[in-house]
Amino acid sequence: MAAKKPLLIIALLLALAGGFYLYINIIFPPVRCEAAKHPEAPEQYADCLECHLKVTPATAQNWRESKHGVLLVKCVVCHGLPDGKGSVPFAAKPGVQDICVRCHEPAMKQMVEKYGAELECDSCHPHHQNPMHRRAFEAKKPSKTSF
Amino acid sequence: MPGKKFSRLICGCIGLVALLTMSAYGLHATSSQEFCLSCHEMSPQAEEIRYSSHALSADKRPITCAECHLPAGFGPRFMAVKIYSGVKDAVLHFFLPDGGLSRAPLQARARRFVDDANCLRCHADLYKKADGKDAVSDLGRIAHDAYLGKNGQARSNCAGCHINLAHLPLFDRRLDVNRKFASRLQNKEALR
Ligand code: HEC
Ligand code: HEC
Ligand code: HEC
Ligand code: HEC
Ligand code: HEC
Ligand code: HEC
Ligand code: HEC
Ligand code: HEC
Repeated sequence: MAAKKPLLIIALLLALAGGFYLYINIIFPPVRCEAAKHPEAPEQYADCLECHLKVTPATAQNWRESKHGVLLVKCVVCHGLPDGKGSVPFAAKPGVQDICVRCHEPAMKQMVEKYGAELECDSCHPHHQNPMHRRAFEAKKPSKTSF
Repeated sequence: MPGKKFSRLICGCIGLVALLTMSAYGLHATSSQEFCLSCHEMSPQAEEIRYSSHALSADKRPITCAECHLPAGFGPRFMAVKIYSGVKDAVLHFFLPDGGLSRAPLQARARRFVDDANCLRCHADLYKKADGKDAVSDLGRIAHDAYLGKNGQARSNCAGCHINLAHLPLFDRRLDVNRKFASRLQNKEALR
């Protein structure tokens, strides 16, 4: 009986801490809504950037100042149209093997040879974090899809 | 045996009540502006806010840290944030090396824990501009529809779209949305 008491207290404390952790993750979730859906505004889709400079200011401006932005690799090329009407299906996180490969097959081969089989480009080239000027290894900042 | 249990129960109850009254006082004191600013880590943020759109409330009173950063009232939401951030801030204050604060990861965490209800207390009508008179712009209407789930569903909370409302670290000053705020801070480069 006496030996069990400290165990019981530890178990209780652990349960409390676990409960607290769960509660705070429920009331302040890391992502407010997982089931995000793009608003419909077809008359505005011609200019993704204008709206996105207001709703995702850092993301949009980082694109504009990156090599992709300067060379006008537009949003729809990677993300597709939000209403799904374009040739590229809409995706918040464009896949490496379906999208990037279209333009970067040689670079991807080179990456694999140099750095191993890792094809998570994101881990070295933070997509929307201004990879201009070859700051390939700049510390990764959290984004809305990956806190 | 049952008598002993009973007296323990009584002691527990008295202790709990004492703790609650003491902590009610403590909670008030540790939510005040002076308390937040008693740590040097918080001074750039407090300095920046004086040049932001949120320096003064509609009735010309300085807006306090707690109005945005702590959920209103003394409910469970408030307690949860208070315990979480209070313990973390205090521990890191004493164990973090000087100049160890990197503001980019702090922003993400702060955005997550700023309660939307706090913004809504001052901005009740999402279809009006901040002054409460004119209608919000077209893009604002679409974005707020998305926030409310009327047209699509946004991922962000208020602070996720409206970044740098009150504070502006150096690395965010180039952003277009911050042009006005940044110009007011122009000769204040020393602020990090
Ligand atoms: C080179 C391909 C590419 C282009 C061009 C591109 N994106 Fe992205 N975008 C990505 C990838 C990959 C991700 C996922 C990155 C992540 O979650 O960290 C992403 C994520 C996002 C996100 C969600 C993450 C966040 O930070 O909120 C938004 C919003 C977004 N992009 C908007 C845009 C807009 C608007 C444009 C055009 C101005 C654009 N993107 C152009 C590849 C691209
Ligand atoms: C429509 C074609 C296209 C697509 C699709 C595309 N890119 Fe690019 N990307 C380019 C061009 C063009 C450049 C500039 C090449 C250069 O400067 O040599 C570039 C440059 C880059 C660079 C180098 C940036 C630097 O600083 O040197 C990276 C990293 C990159 N892209 C990653 C990606 C990733 C990851 C994806 C998939 C999400 C992607 N790209 C999709 C066309 C594309
Ligand atoms: C291990 C980290 C790492 C990963 C993962 C990675 N890269 Fe790179 N990438 C680099 C570095 C470092 C450079 C710059 C020096 C070099 O060419 O090796 C670079 C350069 C590039 C360039 C510019 C090449 C040029 O010649 O201008 C492109 C394009 C690129 N990467 C695309 C990709 C794509 C697409 C992926 C995902 C399939 C990817 N990278 C994954 C580290 C990485
Ligand atoms: C004991 C000193 C101290 C006091 C008092 C203090 N802070 Fe902090 N605060 C810190 C430190 C240290 C950090 C950095 C913590 C980290 O690196 O995670 C911080 C970080 C923060 C953050 C960044 C987001 C996060 O959750 O990490 C916010 C917001 C914040 N404090 C608000 C406040 C408010 C509001 C008050 C008053 C109720 C306050 N602080 C009082 C020391 C303090
Ligand atoms: C108008 C609401 C508001 C008020 C008032 C406010 N904050 Fe903030 N604060 C925010 C938001 C929103 C963020 C999220 C990061 C961002 O977007 O700038 C934040 C971020 C922070 C951060 C972490 C990121 C950074 O920029 O360093 C700290 C620390 C902080 N606040 C402290 C304070 C302190 C101390 C006060 C009181 C002097 C205060 N805040 C008053 C809204 C507010
Ligand atoms: C204490 C009341 C108060 C709180 C809390 C508050 N605001 Fe404000 N807000 C104001 C006032 C006052 C203005 C300035 C109105 C004016 O310029 O006429 C303002 C202006 C704004 C603006 C327009 C100016 C700009 O910088 O773009 C936005 C957007 C905004 N607030 C969003 C928010 C969000 C999001 C939050 C929650 C983090 C918040 N506010 C919390 C009182 C408040
Ligand atoms: C999906 C992104 C998004 C979310 C979430 C969001 N807003 Fe907005 N908000 C916008 C856009 C875009 C505008 C229009 C900005 C403009 O026209 O410059 C705007 C405008 C505003 C304005 C008027 C600013 C002015 O110019 O006077 C206020 C106040 C405001 N929002 C408050 C809030 C509050 C409070 C919340 C949380 C309940 C919130 N917003 C959530 C995107 C968003
Ligand atoms: C009228 C404004 C508006 C226009 C125009 C617009 N968007 Fe968006 N977009 C939004 C809003 C609002 C969100 C939700 C942002 C959030 O949750 O923080 C969003 C989110 C996104 C996301 C992230 C989705 C997710 O699940 O996180 C991507 C990717 C995106 N938009 C791409 C585009 C592309 C590509 C275009 C151009 C064809 C475009 N958007 C045009 C308002 C717009």
